[in-house]
Amino acid sequence: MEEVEKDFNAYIGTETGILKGVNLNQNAVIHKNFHKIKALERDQEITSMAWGNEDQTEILMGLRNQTIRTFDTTVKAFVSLRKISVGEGPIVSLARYDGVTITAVKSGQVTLWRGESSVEINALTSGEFLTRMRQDPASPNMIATGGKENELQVWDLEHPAEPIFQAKNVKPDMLQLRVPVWVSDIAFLEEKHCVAVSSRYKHVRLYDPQRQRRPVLSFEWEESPLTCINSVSSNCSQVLVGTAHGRIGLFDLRGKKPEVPLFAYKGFAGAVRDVVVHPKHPFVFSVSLDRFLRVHHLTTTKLLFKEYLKSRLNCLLVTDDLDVDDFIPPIQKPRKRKMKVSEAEPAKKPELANSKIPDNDWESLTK
Amino acid sequence: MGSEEQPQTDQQLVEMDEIIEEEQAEPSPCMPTISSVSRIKNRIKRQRAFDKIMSEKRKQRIKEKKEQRKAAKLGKLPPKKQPKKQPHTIESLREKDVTMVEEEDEELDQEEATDAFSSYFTKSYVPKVLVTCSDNPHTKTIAFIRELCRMIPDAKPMWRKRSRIEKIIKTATENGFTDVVIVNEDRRIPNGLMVIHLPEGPTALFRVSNPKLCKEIHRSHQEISNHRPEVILNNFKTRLGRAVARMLGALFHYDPEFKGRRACTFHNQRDYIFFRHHRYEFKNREKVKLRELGPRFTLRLQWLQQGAFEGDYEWTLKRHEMETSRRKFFL
Repeated sequence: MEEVEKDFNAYIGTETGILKGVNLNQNAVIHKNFHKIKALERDQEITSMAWGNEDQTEILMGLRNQTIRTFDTTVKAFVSLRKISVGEGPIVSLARYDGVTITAVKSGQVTLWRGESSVEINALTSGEFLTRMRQDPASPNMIATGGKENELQVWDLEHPAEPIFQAKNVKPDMLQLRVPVWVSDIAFLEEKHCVAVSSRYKHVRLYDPQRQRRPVLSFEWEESPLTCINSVSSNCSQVLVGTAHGRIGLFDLRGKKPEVPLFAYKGFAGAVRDVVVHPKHPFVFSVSLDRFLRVHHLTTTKLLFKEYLKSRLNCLLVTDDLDVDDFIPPIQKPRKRKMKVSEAEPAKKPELANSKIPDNDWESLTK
Repeated sequence: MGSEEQPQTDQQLVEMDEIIEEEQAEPSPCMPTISSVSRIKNRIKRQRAFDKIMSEKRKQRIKEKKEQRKAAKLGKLPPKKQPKKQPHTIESLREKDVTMVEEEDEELDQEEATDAFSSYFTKSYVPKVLVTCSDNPHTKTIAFIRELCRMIPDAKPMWRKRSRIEKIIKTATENGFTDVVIVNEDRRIPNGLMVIHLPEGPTALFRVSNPKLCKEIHRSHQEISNHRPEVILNNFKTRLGRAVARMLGALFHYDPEFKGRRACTFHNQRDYIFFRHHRYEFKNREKVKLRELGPRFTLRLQWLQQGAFEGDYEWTLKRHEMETSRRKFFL
């Protein structure tokens, strides 16, 4: 029963609106629903999640019906509920900066909620809709936005009037046709505020705001829309990219061959919805549309855990503190057995050789 | 193999074999046994061990028969016959899957009460199906579409006229259709079936194999009456299977006309969905007469997409990555 008392390692938001907590350890995977299922409706789908504070004791959840719900992980209960009515569509992303809650809705309004007063940024001057807003973990006053037919924009929240960086589309292709834009996810690299972007038109792009407005690097990966991208905190130039057909690739954007993935993580049946690398340990957490939470090892690409969570999973948060000893499964037993056999056999063989030829014969032979 | 197991005589092996058989005779279907006799490497010794087992079995059988005869002579009732052993099949040995649907699942009920087909199952709309095909269809595909339309109530065939699927979805939604079925053909034979639920998806692509028209199974299409059929969705066990079954079921009208005695069956076996179309007749309380009407085809799911021909994939078939075992199925 002690294991139940332990804190959950990962929190997962689902399409049915249930918040799930998962505790991974080698003995069993424990998961728990924090919602009363009967009370849920379709418009309560959790579309985004973010940590509410530095200690990771508060979770902000953005729902489809433009509601922000707060969950306290120490008490394991929902603390507050706040309905915002800005623009249209679901809350695409959430962030917290200096006591300010930042929300981005699909129709393009990014709002800073400072108590009751609010500051609104229109991040969608052109294009169809917004798909993602992401906060820079290194400097939390920076956010980036992007959407369908809406290029990447980087904003400084201290000066919200104008974006500090506005990306420009790549040049027309060899047939002189415009390359369509659909930013699906954004990742900040730790190195000099570089921004990596994945697109539903299969592109992975790297922008360097200090150098140029067009991407520094752009390549295509796989015949499938890219759904999510996230930076690897241990290596400042690596990113993980997930696809709509169910595959994750690890790319080194500063390497010699950035377009070739270093590793590919397999085992998915549906689209990868969110991917997170643990900040301290080499584990890749991912949730996908086939209702599974998977944990891969970053460098060996081995599947360490796989847990069926019954609903379609949308977003994922992983706690920083993780007990690795408890987490890594023990080395498998069959290997040990093999070692024993190989030790026993060489001990027998010399005996047989000696016993078959008596000493007298040896002498006669050598003569 | 540990060192203790190696020095075994044939006698011991035979005994072991018998024990295994005794233990596993009881559950039905009977599981496959890996006989330790087959592990003997010397062919002559192996044969000898095998003969021994067989002769003992024969003796046993003779003994049992004798006892039965004796009992019959004395006027006692013969001992109860053992139930006939069911041979195992790949399907009966199916590996357990975590996604198998359990009886009472609150989360599943909740999801099904709010998904795209919930309004069909609460009977709030009547399905209206648009059936079309790839460009330049040939005789067999055209006949196949015609028969699909005879079978599915309120289905309307249409020529593709080189329009894009996105455009079909848009216009069909505007014209009040609830589902679109697109038949693809290759080498003049239908080989693909895409089912799109409107307006928001999901979309599923099936591979079609062995399509047999009414004519090919020597039936007349005139036998198919205009009554709304019953739909039988059989053996869909996992979460994915259930989603697919709901999708296929939602093509038909929810209210069957039992007067027509027509039944459309989607039977899932080893991930292949067999479609059959019958007319039934109750001869008496036990016996039912079945007459197949046609068409007849087999479906295999290729992928299931969340939106109406857009968006993320809920499931895709990756043959070499997924098919790790012969006994693992997804539907």
